[in-house]
Amino acid sequence: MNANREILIQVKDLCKSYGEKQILKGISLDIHKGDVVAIIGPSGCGKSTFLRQLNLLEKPTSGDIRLDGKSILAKDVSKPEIRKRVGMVFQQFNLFKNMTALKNIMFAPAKLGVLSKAEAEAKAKELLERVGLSDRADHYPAQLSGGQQQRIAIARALAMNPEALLFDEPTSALDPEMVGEVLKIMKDLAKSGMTMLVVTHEMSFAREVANRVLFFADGIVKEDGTPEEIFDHPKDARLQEFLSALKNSLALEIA
Amino acid sequence: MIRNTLLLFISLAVSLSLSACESQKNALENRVFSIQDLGHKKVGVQIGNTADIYASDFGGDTAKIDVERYTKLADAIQALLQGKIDAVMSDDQPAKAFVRQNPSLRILDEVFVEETYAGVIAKENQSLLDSVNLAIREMKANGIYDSIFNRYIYRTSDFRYTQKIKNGPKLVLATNAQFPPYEYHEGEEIIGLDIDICNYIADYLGRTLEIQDIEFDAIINAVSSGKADMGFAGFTVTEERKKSIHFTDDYTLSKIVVIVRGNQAEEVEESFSDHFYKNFIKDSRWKFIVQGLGNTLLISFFAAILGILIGFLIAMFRVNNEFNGSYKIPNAIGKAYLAVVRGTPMMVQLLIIYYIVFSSVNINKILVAIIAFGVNSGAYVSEIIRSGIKGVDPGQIEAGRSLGLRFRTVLISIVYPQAFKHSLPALTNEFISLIKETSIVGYIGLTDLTRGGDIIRSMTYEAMFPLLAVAAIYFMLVAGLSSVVSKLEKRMKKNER
Repeated sequence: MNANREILIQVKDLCKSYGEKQILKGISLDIHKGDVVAIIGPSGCGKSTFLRQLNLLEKPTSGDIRLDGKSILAKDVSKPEIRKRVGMVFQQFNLFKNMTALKNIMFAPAKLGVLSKAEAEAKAKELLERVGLSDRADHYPAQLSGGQQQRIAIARALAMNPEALLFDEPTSALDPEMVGEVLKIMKDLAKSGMTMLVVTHEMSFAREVANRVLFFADGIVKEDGTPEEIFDHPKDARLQEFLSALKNSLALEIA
Repeated sequence: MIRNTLLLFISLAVSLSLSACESQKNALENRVFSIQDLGHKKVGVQIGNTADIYASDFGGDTAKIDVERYTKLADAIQALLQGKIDAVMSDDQPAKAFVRQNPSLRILDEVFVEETYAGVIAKENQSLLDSVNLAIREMKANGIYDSIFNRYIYRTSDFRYTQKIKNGPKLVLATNAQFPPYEYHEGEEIIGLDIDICNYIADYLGRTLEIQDIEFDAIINAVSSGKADMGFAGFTVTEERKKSIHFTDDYTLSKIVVIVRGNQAEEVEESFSDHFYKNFIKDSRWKFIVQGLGNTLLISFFAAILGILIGFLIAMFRVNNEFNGSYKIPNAIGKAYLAVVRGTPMMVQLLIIYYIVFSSVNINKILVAIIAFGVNSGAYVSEIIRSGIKGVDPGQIEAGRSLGLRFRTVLISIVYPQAFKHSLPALTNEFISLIKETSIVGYIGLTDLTRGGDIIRSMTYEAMFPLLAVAAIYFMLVAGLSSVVSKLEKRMKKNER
C-alpha cells in the first residue's frame, strides 16, 4: 500500500525501557506522506510512548527514527528543529493557561521567527476560523470547553506548518458530546493531505478516516493493515480478543 | 473590611489597657524587706549587667534567687510594678532615676555590693587605652570630672561637657542609652555622665565622637570586633570580662542595690490624654516612632527586592537542574544556602553578618540589615517560587517544547507567569513575616519601629502606650500590604476566568 508515495518517517527497531521495564521491544515501520495512521491497542502497551518519541519528547533506548531519510537521533540534530516539523496534540490539550486562544496559536511561530508577529496573528485568525472559533480569540483556556480547547490546540500545532501531526488520544479527556467537533476537524485535516498518527480509542474514526491501522500489544506492532483488514479480518489472537472486548463494552453501553 | 478589623483591633487594645489598669491597682504586696529575703524570690536583672552575676551566685544551694533576665532595665521595672517579679537588682544611680519616676517603688537601705565602673577597649588597641587613661587622669586633675559628676549624680550643677572638635577623625563609642544617669535619651539627644566623659576623651584625642546606641549585651562584642573604638555603659570591672577586653581606669564607684515595691500603693491617676501627651507629644517623642517607621519600611522594602532577586535566581538554577541536570554547581550552592539560612534563627544570622562577615568593613547599618534580611528572605522566596513552578502542570512545558520552543522560553513566557500567580499568597505571607521580623534590628543598633517604641518606653517608664502604638502601626502596614495583594489577585483572576 502507498508504495508509490514518498516515505516521511522511518522507524527502525525502536526500543524503550524505563529501568528494568521494557515498554517497546523493537518497532519498525514506514510512514508515507499523507498517511493517516490510527494506533490502537490495550492501555499500557506503549502507544503513547511510541508517539512521544517521534517528536523527541522522550528519548529511545535504542533503534533509529528517520525523518526524510535523516536520523533525528544524531547528536548534531537540534530537537527544536525536529519539533517544528512534527507537531503534537495532547490528550489534556495543554493550552498555555496564561495566554488567550489567539496568543496560544501565534506565540510559537512569532517567537521562533517562523513568521513575523503580524503574519503570525493573521495566520492564527485564519486557523481560528478554520476550527470554527473566531469568536473565542480573546478567551483564556479556563473560559473554554474541552472541545473548544482541543480545537485550538490543533490550530496551535498547525500554526507551525508541520509536515506531520501526532495526536495522543485527542478525544479521551472530552465529554462525549464534544468528541464529534474535534473528530470533524481531524477528518478535514486528513482530507487536506496532512500526515497524521493518531493514538485513539475511537474505533469509528480509525475505521472511517485512517488509511492504515496499527495494533500495538506487548511492546510490538502485532498487526498492521488497512481498516478492513484489522476490523473485519483480524488475524492475531490478541487483536480478536481486544475487538470483541470493545464490542461487548459498546453493547453494554447501548443496553 | 480593613476598617472593621482595625475597629476590632482598637477595641481589643482598649479592653487590654483597662485590664492592665485593673491589675496595677491590685499591685501585689511587697515580699522583700532585706537582702536575706531574696532567696527563692523572683528577681529581675538586665542581661550582661554585673547584678546578673551577683544575683545568680547568691544564696548557695539553699536560698537561690530565681533570676529573670531582661534586655532592658525598664522592662524589669515594669515587671516589678505589675507583680510579675518581687525585686529588681541594678546599679544605684539608674535605680534612683527609676524610683524618682515611680513613687510606688523604693530602694532597700542595704547595699547588695559595691563596684567600680570603667570603659572597655579592644585588647589589640593598647595605644588607645593608654591615651584614654591619660585623658581620664587629666579630667580628674583639672576638676572637669567633678563638675560632670555633680551634675549627673548629685544634680547640683548644670555643667555639661560638649565636644569642641567637630570634624575630626571619628571615635566610635558603643553604649546603651537606657541607663540613666550614665547614658540616656533626652529629646533626640543621647546624654549622660559617660557621654560627657567620652566627649572629653574625644577632644583630648583630637577626634569627633560618634555614638552607637546598641543593646547592652552587644557592646563588648562591638568593641572587640572593631565595630566601635570603645564602650562606655556603666561597665563594672570583673575578672571574667577582663579575659576578652581591656578596661580603662575606673571613673566612678557604684553600688548594686535592690528595688522593691513600696507598701503604700499610691497611684497617681493619669487620664488617657495625659498618657498620650507624655508618650508621644512631649519633647516630640513621636519622632522616634516616625524615624523608626521610616527605617522599618526602608529595610523591609529593599530586603524584599533583594529576596526576590536571590530567590528567583536560586529557584531557576534548581528547576533547571531538576528538569535536565544542568547547573550542577549553582544547584549545590543553592541547596547549601537554603539549608544554612533555614536552619538558623534570623537573629543569629543578623548578628553574624554584622559582627563577623562585615566585622572589618565600615558599612552603613541599614545596608547590613537589608543584606541580612534579603539573604534570609531569598531562601524562603526561592522555595515558594520553586513550589509554584512545580505546581504548574508539566503538560504546559511539554506543549511548549513540542512546538519547538526552547526550554528557557517556555520557563519565562509560560511557566513563570503561572507560577507567580500560584505563589502570590505564599509570597505575601513571606513579606508579611519579613516586615515583622525586621523588629530585631535594634540588636545592631538601628532605630526601627519597635526600637523607636522602646526608646519612648525607656523615657516614660510606661509599657502600654508605646507598645500598642507600635503594634497598631505594624498592623496597618500588614493590612495595607494584604489589601494591595488581594486587589492584584482579583485582577489576575478576572483576566483568566
